[in-house]
Amino acid sequence: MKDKINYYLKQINIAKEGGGKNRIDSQHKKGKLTARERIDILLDDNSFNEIGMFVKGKNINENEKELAILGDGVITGYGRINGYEVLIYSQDFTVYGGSLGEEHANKICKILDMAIKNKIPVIGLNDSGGARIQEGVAALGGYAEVFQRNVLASGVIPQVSAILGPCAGGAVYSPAMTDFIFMSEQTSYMFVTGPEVVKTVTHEDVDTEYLGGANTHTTKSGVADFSFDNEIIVLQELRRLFDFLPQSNTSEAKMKKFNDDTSKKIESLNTLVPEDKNKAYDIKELIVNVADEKDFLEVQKDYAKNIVIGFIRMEGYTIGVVANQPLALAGCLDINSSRKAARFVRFCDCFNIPLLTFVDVPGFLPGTDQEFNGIIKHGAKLLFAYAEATVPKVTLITRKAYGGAYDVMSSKHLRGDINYAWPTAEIAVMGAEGAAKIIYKSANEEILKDKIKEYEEKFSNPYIAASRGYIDEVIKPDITRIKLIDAFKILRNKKLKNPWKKHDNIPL
Amino acid sequence: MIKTVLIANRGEIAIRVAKTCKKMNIKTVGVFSKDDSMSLHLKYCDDTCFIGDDPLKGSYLNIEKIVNIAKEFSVDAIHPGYGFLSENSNFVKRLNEENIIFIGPSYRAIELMGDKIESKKIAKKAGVNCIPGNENAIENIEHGLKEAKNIGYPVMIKASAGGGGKGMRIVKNNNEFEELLTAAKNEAMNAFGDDRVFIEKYIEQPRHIEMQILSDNHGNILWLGERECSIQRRHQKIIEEAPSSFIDTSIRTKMGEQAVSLAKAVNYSSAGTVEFVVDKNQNFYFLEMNTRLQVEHPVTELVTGLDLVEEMINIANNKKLTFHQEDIEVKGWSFESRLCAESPKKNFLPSAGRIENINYPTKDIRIDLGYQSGGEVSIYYDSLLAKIISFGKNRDEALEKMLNALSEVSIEGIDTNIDFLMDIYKKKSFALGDINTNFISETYKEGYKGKTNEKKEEEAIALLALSYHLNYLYNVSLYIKNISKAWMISWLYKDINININSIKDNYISLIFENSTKEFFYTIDHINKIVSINLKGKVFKGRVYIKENYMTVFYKGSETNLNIFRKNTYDLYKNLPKENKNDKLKQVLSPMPGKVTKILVKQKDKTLEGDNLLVLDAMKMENIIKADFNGQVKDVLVEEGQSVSAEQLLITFD
Repeated sequence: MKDKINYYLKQINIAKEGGGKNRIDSQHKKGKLTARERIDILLDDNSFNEIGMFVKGKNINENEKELAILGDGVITGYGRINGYEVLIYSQDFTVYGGSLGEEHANKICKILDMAIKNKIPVIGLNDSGGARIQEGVAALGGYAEVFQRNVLASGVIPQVSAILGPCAGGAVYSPAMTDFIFMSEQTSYMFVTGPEVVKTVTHEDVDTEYLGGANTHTTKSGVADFSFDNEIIVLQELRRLFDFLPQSNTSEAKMKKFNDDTSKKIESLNTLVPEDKNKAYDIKELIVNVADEKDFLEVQKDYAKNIVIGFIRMEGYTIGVVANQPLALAGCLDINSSRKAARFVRFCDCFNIPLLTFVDVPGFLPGTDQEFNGIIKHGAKLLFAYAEATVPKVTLITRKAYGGAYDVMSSKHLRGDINYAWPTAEIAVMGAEGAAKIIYKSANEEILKDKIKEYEEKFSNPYIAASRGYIDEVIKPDITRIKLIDAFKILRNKKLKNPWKKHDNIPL
Repeated sequence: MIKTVLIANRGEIAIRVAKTCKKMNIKTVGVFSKDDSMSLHLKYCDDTCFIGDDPLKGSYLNIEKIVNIAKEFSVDAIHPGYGFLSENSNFVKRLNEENIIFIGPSYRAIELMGDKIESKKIAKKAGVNCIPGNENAIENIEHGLKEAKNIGYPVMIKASAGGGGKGMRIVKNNNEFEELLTAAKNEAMNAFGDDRVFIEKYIEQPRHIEMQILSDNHGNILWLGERECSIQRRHQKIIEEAPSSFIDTSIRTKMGEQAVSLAKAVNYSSAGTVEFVVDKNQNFYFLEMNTRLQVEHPVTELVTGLDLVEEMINIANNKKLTFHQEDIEVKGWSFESRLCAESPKKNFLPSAGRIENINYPTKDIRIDLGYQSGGEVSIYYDSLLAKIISFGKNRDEALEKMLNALSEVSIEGIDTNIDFLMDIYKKKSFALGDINTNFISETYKEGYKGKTNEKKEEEAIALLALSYHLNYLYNVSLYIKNISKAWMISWLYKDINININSIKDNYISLIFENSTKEFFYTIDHINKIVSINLKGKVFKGRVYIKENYMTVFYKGSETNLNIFRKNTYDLYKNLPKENKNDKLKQVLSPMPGKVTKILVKQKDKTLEGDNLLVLDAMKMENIIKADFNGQVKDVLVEEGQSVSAEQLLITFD
């Protein structure tokens, strides 16, 4: 008996050593942690249960007597984040460079299957050199098995990926299909083809960081949602995101106990919208002020800054916020911001997270660049996402709501449940000046000036929309938080079903 | 009888005047420029009227517009506050023509005392001690150099029409005379439209002590005791106190009597202030007379129990003073702190912008406020946000009350000098009264770098941050048992071991290094104030969450720290600390303003500390310096151009 236990303990130690001390040291030297260390940081103390520690892949080098390494380069299992269950896989770069072979893929698939079956979120920590070439087509098959499960799990359970090392080629498509991607700065990259191939094919000379580093994906491509200085912060912030997310599409929303005032007037909001209509202001100040404890987790904060998305809580419940940002491109909708917001709206709708929309939008960004690249279909994505969403939708127009962009931004006509406007709101087909110029084409400057003023007085306000019921209530800015809390409270049991369909056909 | 008063001012002083008017049942008319259309002072006035789009010349400085509004609203009198038209004799003349009462002295007194050269002649004649120096305007460099030589370096160049530090330069030797003379003249021209300057002896280790006087139209002139205003930055006062800890009764009496004799010489009526510079042997010399209500008048009010604005209005009503010199009794001690929108760490650059949140304490403290949450600090006006005024039985008590009040102020959206003020109050030399007008430049030789916390404060700082963090986890976790027991708090030079015993609602018991601590905490999320009660002792601080660290503001110190679970900390410690790339060599505008002078051109080689350009903002000339060595690649702005905060000004190779 004692021998058997000793043998068992020895095996565990071997498994925990992964690729051995040298490889672990070299991982640390690069500013990276091992797969197990990452799990330690990500999960609550002592909550990890490992699955498949003794799984072995094929001997890579069959002629030699070297044994395959226990675990096959990925640690899998389950644990808790602040008490909530989570399934996890963490690729081990010290074992065959974290490369994906058949058994490696099987272990991930097992986790995804468990996640779907038990409706528990799944987190993947990616650090892999790619397909294990020695296993050939079996590795490719393994990838596709993972992809298939990512797709089946999509919209059923939250899936979050952290890229903490290389993630190239086919490997990128698994994280791409998850709901959120985190990256660590300087130590991670993602691309379909690496710098070498790029150079041969297009003669572009780029390094991995520029081609697919955290900065590139959070500012240029929008592929990643979050990036942070180092892995430790990535993992800590991943815990924080997790605190906002429900366990699945059928589970009850998480409720954070809160000790913030729900009835306090916020006087500063009365002066948020500047007197000068053409002056910008920071919409994030409004978001932060209506949030419980001023806690706002912004998603994709450096990409398409003309729209702001992220999570807050109101009375302890998670709310997804979408807001035009007057500070960037005057808050216009364009291709990138439409895509960014559309995906976020659909995520919230999948997981029953109510939507709060702040509107200050002068319209769609004009230009050949936008038209040639298909703003029509990309803009339609956001429209589609809002229109199909059945979660509680509360909208507040702070200033401009012009033209088609008014319709898109969670308007009453797209089944907005409660639509507020501040007294500074202007709901119109376009700004007063533009409108007057079209209607009175041939008028001289003097008359035009009068007409602009007349149009401004007549239409640049929320009352015409309110008189038609497009706006439910015009509210003073200082009571916004109180009003929003009441609105979400009355909508808490909202039930709305779209007609049965196999699935919709969103303009992709 | 004055029944309606127009307040020709803005900010805290407009509010201050409106409050006394209300007390006296006098109706008030407030005025505003375009930038001030949502400003707080309008809420305190019975009526308000727009003056003009322009922030200064077309509004608060526009005599005709203000006279027209006064007529439109049929006001009996105008209170000018300080600054703007308060010492403009033409304004007073115009009001006399219109039979509108000016709440202040006669135009003649303003005229005489407003001219620095003329005022000294009168002072000398009235038997007031004057500084060695020449009162004539400097004609040219040669003339200036000769005068400077006669007086002996160091000398001070001052604007003839000036005040508030503008157009002032200290010159140490012949070599820098010309450059500094030009700068002083330019600044004087910009500020007052008059570039005349004069030179006088510069007194080393000087203290600024001033005498408040009050006189009516019936020949009664009283002195109300002194204020010491030696704590100045950029020649502007930021901390004032009454009385002064430096002068004794006999000096005080002499100073008071000389002030009275000067006032008599110009038939002064209303509240006024005679400023003196005092050397280390208590010799005092006349500086100038301010023919208006001073910013720092509240400290005199608190120690004498008088309301100076009320007295000014009564005097303007031709009433006699109701008390005599022997009735004036200075009781206790009072401090005033000027809370300014500026960045002490960036050499006091003004910080304009929107105030997202501002919260002042209310207990046991007087706050003369000018802004509230949501207010906008404009680049066109003074950076004064509020005055915080404490009163105590003695200096120590007044100082302690001031520190307590300052530690409860919280402001978001703009930089302020709140922590810097606290740091000054906590200096031992300040507590001992060992101060002079060079206090700030001598105490902070390398500039103010922010305060590092003291050893005994570490515990409070750590517990404030930890309370905030654990409160989050307590509220977000499914079960309390999921919260880790072992924690590390880590800051620049120190790591603290924490082990949690138990958490329940607002109660935490833990082992802090080796000792057990049990405490209750509360969090005010709106103002980000955490307070903990440790065995009856209350600690309060402000805690902000940044992406990857927390910042704790505690009694004037600012500490960035990380809170890690023990296991995470161990891994964090071993993470190699990468070298960040060299920062980009470029200069951004630190604030919105107007470029008045560009001092470098393309291809110029510059060294760290070199002057690059001059930016005018908030009534100050701000010199933008290079903080690295380099060669100018491109200057992206022109002289006269308005720039926004963070705008790229100059790039370097």
